[in-house]
Amino acid sequence: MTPDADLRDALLAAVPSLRAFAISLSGQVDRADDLVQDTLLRALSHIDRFERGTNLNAWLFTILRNLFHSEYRKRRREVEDPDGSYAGRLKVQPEQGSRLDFEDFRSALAKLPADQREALLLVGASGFSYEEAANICGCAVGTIKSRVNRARSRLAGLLAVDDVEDLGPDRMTRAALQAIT
Amino acid sequence: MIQKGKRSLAAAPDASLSTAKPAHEPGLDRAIQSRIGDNLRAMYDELLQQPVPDRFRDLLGELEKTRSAEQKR
Repeated sequence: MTPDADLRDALLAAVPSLRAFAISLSGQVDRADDLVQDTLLRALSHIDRFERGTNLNAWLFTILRNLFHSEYRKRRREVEDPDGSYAGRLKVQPEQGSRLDFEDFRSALAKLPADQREALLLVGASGFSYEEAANICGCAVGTIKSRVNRARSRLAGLLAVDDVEDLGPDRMTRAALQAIT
Repeated sequence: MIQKGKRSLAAAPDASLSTAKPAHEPGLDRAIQSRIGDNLRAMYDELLQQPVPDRFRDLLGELEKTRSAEQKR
């Protein structure tokens, strides 16, 4: 196998996790795929900067994350309230076979500030350590920890409120069922 | 009958019926935190299992061809 074929295979193998991160981060499949494509192109053109034997995924995530933020900053200058539109866009995700639960969860995730969402996705879903996530985001480990904590408690608040809202009709259903049986 | 996540909330004081933030009981927090973790991983797994779009295979396949052509020159 040539080194290039190895590299191609390694990049291809990284695509699913890059996409999962990009989709969860941006809330938009098309935009996420553009981000992944730009990430691959940039990685290839800077491949000499990658130290073989180190974590390729972490390097790729760093590139994707930086692209996302520079694009985000550009967009913010163009459009007002990019965060507010995130929740709406999030619904365009492919939903085949997904449980209703995710809907609530995705919209709660969408309400988090981008830096908290990013930290939570890196540590809680992508399987990076706090140290790796800090490297990817270019910040201190303590910053990542506090972002993850804030993300978790914000989500807890949002999801708990959702549950409470669900409670009313649910209770009535249960009461009705109990009355029948 | 009662769903797991909701039982703990139903058992919470009356404040649970208002839209105010729920009281921070340790047990409730733990239940919600584990639900967050489960949801996050489940949502992510679903995304990870999606097939890789052709555009990425094509892109990387093209690249390999170009590179090996360059090397032969």
